[in-house]
Amino acid sequence: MSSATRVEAVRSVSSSDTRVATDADFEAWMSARQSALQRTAFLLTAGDRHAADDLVAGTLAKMYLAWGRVRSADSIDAYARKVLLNEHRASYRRPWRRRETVTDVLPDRGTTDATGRDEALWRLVCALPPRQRQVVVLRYYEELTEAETAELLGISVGTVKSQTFKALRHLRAELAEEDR
Amino acid sequence: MSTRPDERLSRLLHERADGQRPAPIPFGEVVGRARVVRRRRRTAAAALAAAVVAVIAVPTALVLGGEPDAAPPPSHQVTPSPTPSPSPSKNALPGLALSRVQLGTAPSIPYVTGHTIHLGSTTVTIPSTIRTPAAVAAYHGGWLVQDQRGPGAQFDNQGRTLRRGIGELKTSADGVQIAFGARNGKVLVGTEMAEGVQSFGIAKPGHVVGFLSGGRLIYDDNAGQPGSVLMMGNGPQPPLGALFGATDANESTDLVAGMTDQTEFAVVSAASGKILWRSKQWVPLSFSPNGRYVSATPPRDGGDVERLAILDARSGRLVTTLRLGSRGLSLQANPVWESDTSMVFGVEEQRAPVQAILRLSADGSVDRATAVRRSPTPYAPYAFAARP
Repeated sequence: MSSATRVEAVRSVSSSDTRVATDADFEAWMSARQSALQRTAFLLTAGDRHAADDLVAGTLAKMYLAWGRVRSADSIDAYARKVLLNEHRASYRRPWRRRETVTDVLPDRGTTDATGRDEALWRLVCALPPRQRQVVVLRYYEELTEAETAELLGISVGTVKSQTFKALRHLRAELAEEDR
Repeated sequence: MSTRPDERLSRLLHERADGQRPAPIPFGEVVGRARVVRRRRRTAAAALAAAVVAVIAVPTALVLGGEPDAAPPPSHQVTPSPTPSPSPSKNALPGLALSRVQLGTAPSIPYVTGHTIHLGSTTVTIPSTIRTPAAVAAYHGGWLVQDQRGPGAQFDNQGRTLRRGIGELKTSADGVQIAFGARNGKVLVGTEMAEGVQSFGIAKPGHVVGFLSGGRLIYDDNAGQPGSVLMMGNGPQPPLGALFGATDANESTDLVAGMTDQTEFAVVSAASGKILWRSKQWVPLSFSPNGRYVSATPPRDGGDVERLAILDARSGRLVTTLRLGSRGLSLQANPVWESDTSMVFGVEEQRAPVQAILRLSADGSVDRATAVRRSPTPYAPYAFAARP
C-alpha cells in the first residue's frame, strides 16, 4: 500500500466520521476489559450468569454513551467498575427484580470434603445481602483497599469496615455451623 | 488444613469467577442497548421539560434548537410547514419529523444521493467503483470523487477512471483550485479546467486540510502530536506547533481549526501561530468561505451528535445552534457551507428510515433543502461538492 493510498484510508476514517474512530477506540477497550467485568458481575449477582451478562451489557452501554468524557480519564477501568456497581445497586433495588437467583450449582449439603465446604461457603456468599456482597467482592476479589472500596461505593471507610466485619462474621458463624 | 476465613474467601472467589468463560457481548448489542438508554433518558428529560413548561405556562413558538448556554440568545426559529403544525407542547418531546420542517430551496451546490450527482436540473452518475461518495469536485473536464470507504478516483466525463487513490478534496476560497492527496505520495493542486497541476511532496501519509492565502496549503500527517499540522508552499514553511491535528483552514482569514490535545479544540492564526480561542465544548469543523464563521459540534461521546452550531470564527462566540440528537435526528456527516452564511447537511430520523438535507443559516433559520426520502439500502449518506 503506497503512502498516498494510506492517506485516503486514514483520512476516510478521521475526516468526516469521528464517530467511527471513537467507536473503534471503545470497541478495543471493551474487547480487552469485558471479561474482567463479567467475572466481577458473576460474583455480584451471586453466580447468575444471565444476570451478570445483563449487568455488564448495561454497564458497557453506559460506558459507550459516556466514552467521549471517559476515554481521557485517568482510570477508565475504575470508572467502569463504578458504573457496574451502580448498575448492580439499581438492579437489586428495582421492585420487579427477581426474588430468586439461578445458579449452575446444585445443592450438595452434607458433604464434608474440601470441595463440599467450598460449595457451602459459596452458597453463603451468594446469600449475603447485596451491599455486603459488593464489599466482599471488592475487598477479597478485586483486592481493593478499604479506602478504594469506600470511594467506589460512595460510603465511608468505617462503613466498609463494618460491612466487611458483618459479612465475615456471618460466613464464620455459618461455616462453623456447617462443619459441626 | 487451617486457613484463615478471609484467605479462603479470597481463594474461593477467584476460583469461582476466574473459572468463568463468559461469552463475549457483541459490540452491536452494546450500541443497541445504548440507544435504549439514551431514549429513556430523553423521555425522562422531556417529561421534566414538559413539567417545567406546565408550571411556567408560557406560550412558546416552535423552536428548533433551544440553546441554554448561548450568548447571545439564539434566533433559530423554524417556520413550521403549512400542515400539520405541531403544537408547542409536543415540541418538548423528542422526535421531530423531517416532513414538518419547511421546504426551502434546493442546495445551491452540487450534492450526491447514492451515486448520483445533482447539478441543478441535470445529474451525473458516479461509477460503482466508488463505494460511498463523500465529496465530489469538477476537475479537468471530469470529476474527482472522494470515497468514504476507501481511495477515491478521478473520472472523465464518460465515467472512465483516469486516476485511482484520490484522498480528501479541498477547494480554494474562489472554488477554482482543488487540492487532493494522490497515490504517488504527493498533494496535487489543479483546477476544473486542464491548466496544469502543481504538486507538493509529502513525507508522511495524512490529509489535506485546506488552503491558506498565497497558495499555501495546510496538511495534517494524522500523527496527532506537535508538529503534525504542516504548511506547504513555496519554500520552507513552519509547522503550526499549537495544533496536534487540524480540521479545516481558511484562505480568506488564514485561520486553522483543530485540536490542541485529545480533549481541547481551538482556532489558530496561521499568520501569528497564536491560538485565538480554545474550547472543550465545541469541535470547530469547517469555516465559511469568507472565514467569518465556523461550523461546530460538541465532542462526540460515541453516540449521535446532539447539536450543530455556527460559531464566530475569531472569537468562538456561539452565533446559533440547532439541536439534533434530542429531536430524534442523526447527523450523517459534517456540514458543508453552501454560502458565506448558510450550510447544508444530511440528517436521518432515528425512528424512521428517512433522510433529507437541512440548511442552517447564521441568522438561525432552518429549512429543508430536499424532499424527504426513504433511506437507501445499503445505507448511503448525502454528500456534497468539495468546498473551501
